[in-house]
Amino acid sequence: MAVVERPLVRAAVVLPILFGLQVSIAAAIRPFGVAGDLFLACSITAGLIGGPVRGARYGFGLGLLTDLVTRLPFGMGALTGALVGYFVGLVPVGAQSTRRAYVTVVAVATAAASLFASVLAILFGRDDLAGTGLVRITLVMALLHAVVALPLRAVGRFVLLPDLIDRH
Amino acid sequence: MALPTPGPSRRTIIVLALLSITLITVDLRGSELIDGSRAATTELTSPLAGFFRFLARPAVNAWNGVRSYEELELENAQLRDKVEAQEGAAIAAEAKSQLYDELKAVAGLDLLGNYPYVTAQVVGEPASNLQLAVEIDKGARDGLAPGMPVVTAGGLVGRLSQVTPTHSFIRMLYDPQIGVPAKIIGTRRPAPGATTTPTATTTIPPSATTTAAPSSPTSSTAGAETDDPSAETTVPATTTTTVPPKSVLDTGLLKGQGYDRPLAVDLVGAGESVAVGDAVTTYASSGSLFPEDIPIGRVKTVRPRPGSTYLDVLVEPIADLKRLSFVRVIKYSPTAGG
Repeated sequence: MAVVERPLVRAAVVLPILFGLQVSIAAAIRPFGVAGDLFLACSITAGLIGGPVRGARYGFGLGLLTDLVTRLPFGMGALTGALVGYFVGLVPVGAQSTRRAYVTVVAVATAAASLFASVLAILFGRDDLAGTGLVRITLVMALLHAVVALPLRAVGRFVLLPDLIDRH
Repeated sequence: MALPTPGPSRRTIIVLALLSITLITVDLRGSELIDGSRAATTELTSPLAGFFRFLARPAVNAWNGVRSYEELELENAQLRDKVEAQEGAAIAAEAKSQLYDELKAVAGLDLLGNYPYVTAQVVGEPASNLQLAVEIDKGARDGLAPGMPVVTAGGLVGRLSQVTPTHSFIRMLYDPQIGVPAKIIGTRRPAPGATTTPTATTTIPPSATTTAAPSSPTSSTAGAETDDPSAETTVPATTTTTVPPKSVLDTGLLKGQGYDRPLAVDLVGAGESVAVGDAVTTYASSGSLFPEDIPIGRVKTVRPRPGSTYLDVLVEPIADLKRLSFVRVIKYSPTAGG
């Protein structure tokens, strides 16, 4: 297999662009004060396309990167990413499923991950999140990730499919 | 009975989850390795982040324009009014401020203006919805250190929580994990049943000079009568103005309650006559984390706390914490300033 076809090499190419888009566009364009989380959306994509193991590994890695660039308890993003990547990997919706089913799963998984992360944050002292703020963040993030779900599926295919094809 | 052996996928998630929980625990206990890694990441990624922010600026500006055009127009009109009012007030305040500074200098107290400061630009919005810290473009190389207070022209914004060589993070006032010693300044009102009203009396010295009108030569004044209609008469007039004195009503601990929510002051006694509109500033004691008298905001609501001897006091911050562009980091440290 050529070097450029290795998933990690492809991921290394995609990652800086993803990071740049997160800190510039996703963090600044905030409908109802809520920002999208492209790293979380990519963890979900990795799970849906690559299955539970890849979902958990990519989710963990992307979550660690989130932890490095944010000032939340270190490991919180990794835990959220690994769990959401793993569990969506168990859902029988993948790279070849219908768009509607795929987008719906991304939105639901985002809502679940966002709720989980918010509950963790509340445990770590963000009491203010309990209540309407939590509902707002969950719903808006689900909507934002539904919007970017299909473009990210293309990115996920680019990164993961050579690996999947090799193994089958 | 033997437990079922987890499959490879389950083993993976168990290991990763345990690893994550370990990392969280290590970070909560404080780890230089994690702090160093974060600082290094900030340093390494800031050029890339800056480049992407530059590229995305037109799109972000367009979004902001669409989202808040009408709101900005209204705000502009209100700000123009405010600027006019402030200009007048500033002139009146200048003399008082001068006197205040002199008095404080005589008393040997620290003034906010005595501290050097660094002006910094807010780099961008927090990358996560759960993060309240805001990043600025100045760091340890500019002499900044964790704990330094951050202000705008309006008032207190927060304090530095983490500092890398070229960037820093502000723990904002609305963060529930921040605590600022604060004092409430207002007019002391009489307690129910009290008979005396404390007031300050300002006596303006008699310096008024009146000229008798030619058409009323016989008009009497408080001074001596004269037949000469053009004669100037000095009236020994004394004007007395009663001004309710402002004083420190109580001190307490100001805490954030989250983004979009007012600040709360704890430990304000129910017997204190705190009212809506009273000023709230920082309160410094020995080794305090903040210098004295940084404006924070004004009391927004006051309610008695049910079943308690304290009041629920909510404060609206003066500084616009949601739309920061430039801030000043005061080079103050408790050991130097307290």
